[in-house]
Amino acid sequence: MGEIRAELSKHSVTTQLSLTGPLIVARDIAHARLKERLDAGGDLPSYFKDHCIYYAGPAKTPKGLASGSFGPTTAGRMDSYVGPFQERGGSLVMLAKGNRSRQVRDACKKFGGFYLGSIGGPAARLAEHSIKKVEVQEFPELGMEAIWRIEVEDFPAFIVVDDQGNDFYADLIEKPLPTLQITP
Amino acid sequence: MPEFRYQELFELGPDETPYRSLGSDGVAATRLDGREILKVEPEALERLARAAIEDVSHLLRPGHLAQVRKILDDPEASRNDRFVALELLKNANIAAGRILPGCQDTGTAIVLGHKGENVFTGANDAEWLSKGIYRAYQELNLRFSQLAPLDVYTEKNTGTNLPAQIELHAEPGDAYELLFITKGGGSANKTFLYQETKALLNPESLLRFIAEKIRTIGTSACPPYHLALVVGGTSAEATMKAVKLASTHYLDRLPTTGNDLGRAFRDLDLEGKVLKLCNETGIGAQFGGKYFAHDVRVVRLPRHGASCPVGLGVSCSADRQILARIDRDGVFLEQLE
Repeated sequence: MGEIRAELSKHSVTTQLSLTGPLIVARDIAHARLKERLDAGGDLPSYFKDHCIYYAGPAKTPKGLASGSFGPTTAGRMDSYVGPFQERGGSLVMLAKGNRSRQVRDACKKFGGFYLGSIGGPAARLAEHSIKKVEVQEFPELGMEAIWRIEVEDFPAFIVVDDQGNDFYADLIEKPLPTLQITP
Repeated sequence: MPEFRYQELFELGPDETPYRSLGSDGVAATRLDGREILKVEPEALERLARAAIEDVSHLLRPGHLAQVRKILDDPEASRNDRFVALELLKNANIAAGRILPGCQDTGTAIVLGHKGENVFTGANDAEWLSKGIYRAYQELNLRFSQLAPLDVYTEKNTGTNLPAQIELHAEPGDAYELLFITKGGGSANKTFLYQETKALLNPESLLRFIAEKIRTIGTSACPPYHLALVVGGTSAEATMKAVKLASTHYLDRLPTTGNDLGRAFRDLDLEGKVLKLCNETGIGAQFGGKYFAHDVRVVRLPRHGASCPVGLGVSCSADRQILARIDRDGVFLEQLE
């Protein structure tokens, strides 16, 4: 994780990346469960600290293929977990889709984290081209919302939020509106 | 004093959708009291729903694909717009093989049906449509995304992707027309209701309002979007339903002017202006550029004088809707590609 973050630190927001290696997949219910553990005095599992976290829930794996359609889910829903998890050494590099709130930018700056944006939409293409192995890591009873461990190769992403407080979308979405020309 | 005249709120022009035939099994004509009745076996509804979910999960409208393709040729598109568009086209190609669905979020199954009163099924149509939907989610490589609440806080995945959202209307006629949508969470979450007032209804205020609100949609629902804006509505729920229908292009055939009876209409001029606002956000197809939206639909509805609901919503890159029709010629499903 240290090496991954050191590499990402060398590049600016908007840099296009190609990811190869293991990812831990977790989304809404898993994040809520892990937060419950923290609140009860426990810690995040070590796999959650060692690897990048991909927010996603897969469709069924077709017979004979390594993966079913498996694109990213909306990052924004997990924003409230980022600060608490990064404080414990987890979620330091996250991969999902969509712009996120200010609290994510602030947490990444404070704890040295990154949010990488995956293209939202091409789930079948990712399954066929980039995802090589899919297995359940924890919470199998959650079906598609289980925590999965996957292996990827040449998975496209962009640096969206970095450890310096930069956010790809900050200018675009938060800047004041231009003067509107209303033509009759 | 004005006389009584009934105005259909949504006066849709003729349907020019290309359909493919699923055959005429389960469809037969008979007579009752001098009327021609169309008997539709409930199994035909089940088969239709099964086929509709399969097609809509793996294929797209040719018009939508053309819009994605056009991004590659537009000199004003950014490099990232083109990169995303190319990935989406590759994705569509793979999904068309009917093994991997185009998006992993295979959605909530939604059915809107208009059943002519001369169509008899003798069954609970919602149940048979649900059965077809169930079979699709069992047999194909889709995803179970529905959570049943056991108490207010405790939930369990239903393991079937049911319940579906099914709404059936009775009306005159002898055809059964259906619209199937599989709506994913990302785009469903970017559906907004604003309770506004008359003060919004002038060009400058409305455009400024829209420019601000479209930015709040952000990139979370996988642009380029088919954006839908509805101004007015007899109720909040009427406005939101119109947003959903407009986003599927179901309301494309509305008239383009209003009348003094309050019919719904599309405003093409405002559609052009809002599309320009979308281009100018610079958000593009997710990573900066021009293509935040493919197109915009603006629908204007009548309203109570004290209320001005405004609805905003999108259909996303998994632009999944499919029309269907059952009539004396058989069972038909919109031709997707």
